[in-house]
Amino acid sequence: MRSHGGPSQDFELNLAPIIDCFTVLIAFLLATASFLSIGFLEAGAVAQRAGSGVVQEPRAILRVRLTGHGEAAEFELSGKKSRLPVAELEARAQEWKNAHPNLETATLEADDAVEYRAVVEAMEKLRAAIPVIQLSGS
Amino acid sequence: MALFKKSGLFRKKNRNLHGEMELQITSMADIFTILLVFLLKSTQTGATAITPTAGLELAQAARTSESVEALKIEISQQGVSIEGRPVTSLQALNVNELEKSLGVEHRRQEAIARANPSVKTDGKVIIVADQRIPYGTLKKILGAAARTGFTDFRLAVVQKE
Repeated sequence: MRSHGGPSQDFELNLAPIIDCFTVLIAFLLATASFLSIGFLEAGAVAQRAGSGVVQEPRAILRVRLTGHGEAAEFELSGKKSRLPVAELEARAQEWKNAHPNLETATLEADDAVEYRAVVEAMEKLRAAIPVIQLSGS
Repeated sequence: MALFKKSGLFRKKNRNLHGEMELQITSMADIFTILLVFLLKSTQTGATAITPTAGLELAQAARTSESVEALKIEISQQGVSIEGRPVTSLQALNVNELEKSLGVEHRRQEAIARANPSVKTDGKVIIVADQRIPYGTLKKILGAAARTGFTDFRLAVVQKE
């Protein structure tokens, strides 16, 4: 663009320092970036209050216990006990919820040898139908 | 070379009469800007940014809830640490030492809550545990946390796609 009779105002933005800054910033962000997407599973505890030594257990209707290496689960619902493979837990949890609409809490426990991974998988299956999962250690 | 001339990457400026070549960095600036925006968007910030230590394998889950700001207990194959501070080894798990450290943290949170009414002590604790840990070990740690007032657990997991 040229003004009337004046000097040329045609100029170019010097992008070199901007590119320098961007290069440093991108290198820093790439080095520090964590591409893992971390989420959280909510779990309550069948709590023991400090000093009391008394286990305050919630009024849970459904109790699920993972056995073996976490491939099977024993459950107790309204006094009835049974056993099922963990793979069927999600479908059965939905059935239990349909049969007992007021079922809001499940207590999940596991044998000592069961890996934490199996507990998380079972929690996720139960949470598909039951909103509150409490971990028990008894 | 003709391609470069056409695309303008090494465009010869018309007004440059000395035949000098100049790198056209406008497009590079565009690419860098997009990269920068993407990286800034995907960068975790805040107190809840979880960076598991090397060798720690988190369990995976698809249905997860939103993040919270809470005390972080990390349980790796080697040991247990609270907010990055090692407390006990896993082989010789010292539950008393763990309870003592958690008690200190709980009292500290209560003191902060007393000084600042906008801060609440809600008993939340983030558990960052290796997926291979046996439940027998985990329940001792969760029991220690529950006995010191941390009863609301948030289990950190890797979100499945």
